[in-house]
Amino acid sequence: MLHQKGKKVAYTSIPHLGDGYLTVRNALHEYMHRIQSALPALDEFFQQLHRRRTAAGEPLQRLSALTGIARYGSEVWRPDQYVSPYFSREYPGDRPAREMLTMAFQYVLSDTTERLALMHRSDREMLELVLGILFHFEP
Amino acid sequence: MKLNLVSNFGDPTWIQWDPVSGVVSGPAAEQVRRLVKQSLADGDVCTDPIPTCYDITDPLHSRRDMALVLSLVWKIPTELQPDFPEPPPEPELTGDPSIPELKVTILN
Repeated sequence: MLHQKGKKVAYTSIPHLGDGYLTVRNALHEYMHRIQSALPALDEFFQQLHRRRTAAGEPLQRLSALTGIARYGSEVWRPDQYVSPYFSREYPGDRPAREMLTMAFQYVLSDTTERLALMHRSDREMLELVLGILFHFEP
Repeated sequence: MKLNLVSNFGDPTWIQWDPVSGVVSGPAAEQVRRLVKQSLADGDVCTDPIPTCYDITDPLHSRRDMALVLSLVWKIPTELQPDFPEPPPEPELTGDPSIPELKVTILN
């Protein structure tokens, strides 16, 4: 768990706590939340994509109901054709899709090859957005 | 056992899995075998609830491990939902954490 002046700023629940407990893919995911916060213009690409994809206004649904994982509690997602529903988890506020950027970079840079291949086959637009940012984005 | 595999996208598919012999067959078998191979190489599966990772050792023979591997792509099949492990308890935040002072040595 990371803290800033006593305030919880990021959390990861990993069973084998201790030195090296933070796996690369989780570390990258959480670090991208920091990048997202520092570079709102970068995050806006993903917010726009999510707004366009969910323009039909599908109602929010509970992640716990979808996955059967009670720990998700009151967390919600808006159904669309993402490779994982967690991409479209929504938070309160004017930038609700805060897992788009983090999950997209996780899939491309630090996840299993099969999950990257899955994105290549099933969500080429997301893959091309990440690759385009990696090659061309300038803050 | 036949496991129906449904995801957030694409068409449903399925595998036939024998946890005793470890044999997987069916239209999604090749993809599942790749997931198993990659997950074993990693030694863990990072899946729900995000961000949680679980150690795995033998997905082709363990219902728990197979449930974890399949959850990387599909909803957990009904037959394996009881085998999906409980996530570890969330640690309590108790007071200000002490962060040891870092000593940095710059080597020329």
